[in-house]
Amino acid sequence: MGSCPTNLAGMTSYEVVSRRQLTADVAVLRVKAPEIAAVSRPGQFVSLSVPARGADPFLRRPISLAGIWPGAGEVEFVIQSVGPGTAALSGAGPGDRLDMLGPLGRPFPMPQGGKALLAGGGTGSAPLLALASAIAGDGSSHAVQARMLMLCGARTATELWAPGLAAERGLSVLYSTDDGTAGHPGLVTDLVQAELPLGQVTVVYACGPLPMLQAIRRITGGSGVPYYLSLEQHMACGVGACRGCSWPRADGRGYLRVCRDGPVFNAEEVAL
Amino acid sequence: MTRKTAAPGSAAADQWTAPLAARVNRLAAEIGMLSKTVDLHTNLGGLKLPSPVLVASGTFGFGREYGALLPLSLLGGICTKCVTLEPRAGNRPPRVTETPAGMLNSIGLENPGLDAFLREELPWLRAQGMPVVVNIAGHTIAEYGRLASRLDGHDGISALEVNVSCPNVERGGMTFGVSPRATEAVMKAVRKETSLPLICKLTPNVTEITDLAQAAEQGGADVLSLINTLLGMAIDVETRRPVIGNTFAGLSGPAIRPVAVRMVWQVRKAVKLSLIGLGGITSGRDAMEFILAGASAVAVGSAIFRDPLTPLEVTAGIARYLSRTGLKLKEAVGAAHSG
Repeated sequence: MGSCPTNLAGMTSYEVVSRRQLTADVAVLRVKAPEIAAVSRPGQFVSLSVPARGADPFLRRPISLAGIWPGAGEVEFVIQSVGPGTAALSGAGPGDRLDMLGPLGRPFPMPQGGKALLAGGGTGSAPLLALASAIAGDGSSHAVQARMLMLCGARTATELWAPGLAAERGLSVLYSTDDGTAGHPGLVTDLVQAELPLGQVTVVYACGPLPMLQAIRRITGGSGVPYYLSLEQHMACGVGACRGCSWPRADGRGYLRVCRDGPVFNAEEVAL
Repeated sequence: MTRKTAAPGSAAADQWTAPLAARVNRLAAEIGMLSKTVDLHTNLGGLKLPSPVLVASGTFGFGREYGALLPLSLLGGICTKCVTLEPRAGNRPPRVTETPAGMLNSIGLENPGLDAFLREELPWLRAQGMPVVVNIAGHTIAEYGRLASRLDGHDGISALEVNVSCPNVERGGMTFGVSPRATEAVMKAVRKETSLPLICKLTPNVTEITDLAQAAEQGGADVLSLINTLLGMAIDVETRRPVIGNTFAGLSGPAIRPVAVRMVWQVRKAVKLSLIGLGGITSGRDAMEFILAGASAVAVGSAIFRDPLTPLEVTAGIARYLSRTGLKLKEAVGAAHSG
């Protein structure tokens, strides 16, 4: 035992192989983690921490998988620096190691034919990128266009990172900015509203800030099209034990755990 | 609460936990090796534990989730998530937030209730091969008695831990554990209903912790565990609202360790009972502080969220310390008071 005040040993650490800054505060990290890449599915998350030198940051951070490459044994995370925890994580560069616990949580159910609509707001586009890659994985890009449409929104052009990352994977996306500096001027949910009545959509997936998810519910709720939401909540254990990351059930009968019952929910299950 | 079917993808858990298993094996081997020369058994007023390292109530559920990550049989014991007579949905979110060297939580005693615990959790816990301490909480003194009576006589329960940090609905919601009289009354009500070893978990949110310790002793406690979380609060300066849905929340983590060590030290001097020390333990070194202050066992809590293997790291760390110093565990308990 050393003389340091704490000894928060790592979980299982994996090496960062690349890092790119996407916007002023968003970075994409690729990590060599073969065991995790082998079993992860889009919609799941990994509980991350930088190997601790002291007691801070104290908790791990749940971060969605933005890319999963079982062949290369790599996974990708898009991390927005919003506080000390995410700053430490998104600041990790090649050769640094991250403690990873995961994959955790329930993945997106894969679409069963028809056309899938994927709508992401801000960093909420990250898990949808993993899903889009998985849907595209078994078809040509031509076939992809017929089977899914990915929509990404950001506040302004300089915060819009998802279309570029999608293009690198051969995926095309429609995008919007609140201030009209790129793509459709307005909200990403405007694009959903325009697309949905065309009648081909069989499933909607959404991840983003709460007001966006509430808009998705207003638009999609009555349409009969099933829709799935990936939710974010303050989290402690990440494995379902501590009941810290609760989300109210739609029926008012208690709470669901975002870490274990989610983070992907059938939208009808949860109150918004 | 009925248990849901396993999450899709969780069937593959064995694969991603493989690197973790290597760490578990290394720690288990080290603990096994050191156990040949170091006796880790501890006896707390009749409650015999194979190791002095428990997992703290509320941080480990009923063991299932973490049971997938580490061998529970290596634990000194599990203090379960608290059990109440009726199911409880818990408090409105957000329920947790990070703080300097720690965290705040206000879960609100979410649990499936006594019947579901006995039906669905206890049989599973019993099969895991570690001592099971059932943490109980009530809103009236009668409820505490009823819980003890219903839990008495079930196989596989090593002790009851009485959570007195609950609002007393018969006294305007004042927490039982801040009143020596109410604490004594709760312990007496429980004592009357069971011959199981009784642990009283003390709240630190009091003026004089020794008054509460003596009241619990008077009421018939065999063991005291301390400390529960310190009452705290955080405000989001952007939204200008409390972060936690319930406004106030319990502070845990390394930030509270010096307070906890001080209280164990004081209580050691004030009562004859065996003590379980907890509050911010992350390592064997941290645990030894509590043991030297007078605790015969320790519990690891929120550090598990950071690293689920912390209880094993702490166990190995204690064994290393005892091996290095030649002290017996029994001799180390309270050793900081002498000389």
